[in-house]
Amino acid sequence: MKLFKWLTGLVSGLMLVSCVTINIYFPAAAAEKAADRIIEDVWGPGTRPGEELESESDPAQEQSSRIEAEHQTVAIRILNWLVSPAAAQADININSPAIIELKTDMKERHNQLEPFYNSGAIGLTQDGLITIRDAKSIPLKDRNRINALVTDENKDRKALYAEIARANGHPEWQDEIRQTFAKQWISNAAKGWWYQQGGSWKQK
Amino acid sequence: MRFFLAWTALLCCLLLWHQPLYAIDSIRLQAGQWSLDSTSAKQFDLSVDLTEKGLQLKAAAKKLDLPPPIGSLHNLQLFCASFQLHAGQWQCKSGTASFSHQQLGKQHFQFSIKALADKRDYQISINGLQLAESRINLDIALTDSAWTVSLSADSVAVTALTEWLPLILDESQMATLAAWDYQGRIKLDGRLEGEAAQLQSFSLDWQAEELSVSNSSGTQVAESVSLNGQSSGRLKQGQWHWQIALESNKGQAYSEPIFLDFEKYPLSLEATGQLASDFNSLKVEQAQLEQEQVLTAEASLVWANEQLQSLHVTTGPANLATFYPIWLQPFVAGSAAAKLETSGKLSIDFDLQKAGYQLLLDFNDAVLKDKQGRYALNKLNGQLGWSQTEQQLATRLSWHSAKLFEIDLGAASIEAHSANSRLILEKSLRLPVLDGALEISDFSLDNQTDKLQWQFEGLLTPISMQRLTSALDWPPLEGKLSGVIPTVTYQGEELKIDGALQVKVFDGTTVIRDLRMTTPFGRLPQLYANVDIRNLDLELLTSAFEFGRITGRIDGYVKDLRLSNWEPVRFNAKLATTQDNPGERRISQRAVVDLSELGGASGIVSLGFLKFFDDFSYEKLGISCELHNEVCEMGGIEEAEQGYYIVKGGGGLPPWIDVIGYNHRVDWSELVARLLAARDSPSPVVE
Repeated sequence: MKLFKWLTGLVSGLMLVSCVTINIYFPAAAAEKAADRIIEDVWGPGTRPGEELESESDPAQEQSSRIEAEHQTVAIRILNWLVSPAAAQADININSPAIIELKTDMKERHNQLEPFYNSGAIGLTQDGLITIRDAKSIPLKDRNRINALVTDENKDRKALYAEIARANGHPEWQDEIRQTFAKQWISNAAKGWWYQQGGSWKQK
Repeated sequence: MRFFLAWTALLCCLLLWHQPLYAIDSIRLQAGQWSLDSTSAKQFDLSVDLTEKGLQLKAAAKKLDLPPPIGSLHNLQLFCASFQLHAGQWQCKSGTASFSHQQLGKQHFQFSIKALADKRDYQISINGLQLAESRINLDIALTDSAWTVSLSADSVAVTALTEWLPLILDESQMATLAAWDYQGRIKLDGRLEGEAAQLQSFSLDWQAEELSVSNSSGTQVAESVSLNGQSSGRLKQGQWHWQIALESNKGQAYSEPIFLDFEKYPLSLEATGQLASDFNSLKVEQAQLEQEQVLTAEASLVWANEQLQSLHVTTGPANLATFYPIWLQPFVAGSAAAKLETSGKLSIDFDLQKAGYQLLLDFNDAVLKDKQGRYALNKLNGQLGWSQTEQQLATRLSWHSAKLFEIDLGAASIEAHSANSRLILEKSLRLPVLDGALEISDFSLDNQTDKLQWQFEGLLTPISMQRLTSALDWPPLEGKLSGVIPTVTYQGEELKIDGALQVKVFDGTTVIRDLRMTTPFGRLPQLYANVDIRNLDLELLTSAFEFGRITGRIDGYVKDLRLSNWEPVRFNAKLATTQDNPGERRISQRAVVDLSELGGASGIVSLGFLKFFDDFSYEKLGISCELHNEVCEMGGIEEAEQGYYIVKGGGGLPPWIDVIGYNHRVDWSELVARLLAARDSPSPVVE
């Protein structure tokens, strides 16, 4: 906890010094968190193997994480008070009606796509989209249905990245948000799913 | 063919090599090593015996090397029980042969041969040759100048063909074939005719069962297909004149992005054409395709210099309900036409030449309905022409009714023509919109650079707001919407409306400017606009929204409005009492309460003795909201202590009342909820 306080102090100090410029930069950490929240909503909490299950089965850990969350809130409050409102805006808003609707549609579509992630027919690309990786493993009659689902999913993903950037008043963040998501989709992917890295396919 | 010729050579070689045998019962020849031209044998053993039936011939060799493509035969055995010779003719009516061969495996078969050696006329028949897991029978007739082979195979395993394909295919052809997986069985009957090494004509009938074919990427696939076919060809002056007929009623195929289910929709194809003997040019003179319950089509094409030179396809009236999902939908995934409900008929005429293509679509009582409810066209009739070439194609289209989102559009007809990838309206078009109309003139659509863009000039004749708001499920408004629209342009997925739309509502004027939309039919349509509001009658407005009763006039604006997916996500709006001629200004008790709730002005609702008055006089009122990030930054007409004035009392006779807002930041969804609650609350609750 000492370390945490020390870090908080340091960060607040830095923020105070640099509060004028802080919003010029893309809030990478906030974007990662936002991406994780959306991914969890779309893929469901069980996608990343182990983690959620562990925290459910261990109430002590759950409690400690809640305490930590409270501390964070306090820390953020202090920061807000110190550097308000500049630093407060570094949060990423993902609650606009359009984002919520996109999430709902993507979640519904995920139920249809999931078996194909599992079978390796569909893989995650390094630019935050998905693609057919192994068409041969998809039954012929399903090919066009899956093609259409992949096209729709990619349209939604592109719309999502653009909307998050716009909703946060920075349309120019679109590419960075997309890159953040690209990373987080892959890091949240379940064991056995395929993803692209450096132009070749890898399996988690 | 070389295979059969080599075979014949082998048999002749063995059988023609005879000696005068008079007065001897038996003759036997043995050689450890023997060779002649490019043929050689090891441990060669030939015996000829005189029996009651005639000559009995027996030959064996440990190894016989024949010229390519046959190569080496091992453990060769030949036996002919009755070998006859007279007057320059010899024959073996019934013989057996066996050997083993690297590609052909172990073979044991019956044969018969009849030869007129001096005329070089041979007739050979082979029964029971085992190739590709199938029993194969061959009848071969050879003369000095020509040959004929009739063959029948009862069930050739396609996979087993691989082993002896190197005999007839070269390395590059084998490499191409290696990229494919194939299996299944084929029953084959055919007849081949040739001269020397050149095939001159063929005729083949086949029935394939459980045929599965796939390329390595899985883009061209057939699964468990039954395919009956018949084909024939004849070589004339360096050109193969061929015809083919195919039909299938079992199995499935996928040729990206088309999926065909032969069981559900049996398919048949008949075609005739020409193919250069070096395979460099192909001409399909006439092809007829029939897919049951879906379409009939006729096509012709020319392929040369490794590319398509011309293609002409015409389809009979196809049933759109089955035609769209099979032949159109796969090509338009992700577009506005990706999910349609279709019915009616469509005929297509497509002509591709070097200069470009011409496409003619003929609709007959067609219905196109977007499943996401964005648009619909009912009873579409007439033809739509699109030409990439200089030749003009006419468009004469009409529909009975249409729908754009929830807005009803009436019957309309289009007269246009197309050339050079452009479509130009010939006559201005009147498109009924609810009770008004949009008059479109100078419409032109351009796809020259493969980036669709279009524009038109428009005039919107008054549409009643009541009809519009009820269609859009908005709060009902009285008044009229109209506008002169100098230009509407669509370019790079952005729809831009120059000029202004005017809404005459609440006895005032609302002008919508700088209207543009990105991806209007995309996943998340974005609408941007600026709105000016002038001189609205508050009494009409408050009565429309059942929001208490306020008299007076207001001006205002909505700047930088953005709707995402038709929901407001950003704007800077203000409504305030008109400065010049505000009219009589009174506000009812209920309006006071409702306004107070809007601004979160909780404490002020305690009206005390004022509750005995129906309404109050005010000097000015106003409210502003800057929406950003789901939060409305609220303000009023004037700063107040810790808050802002929404209503400032004054003007006429007292009592006066002030409404002060204290919440500077209000959650937008909460504000909308409050507005709806204020509208729906039955009566004011005033202390």
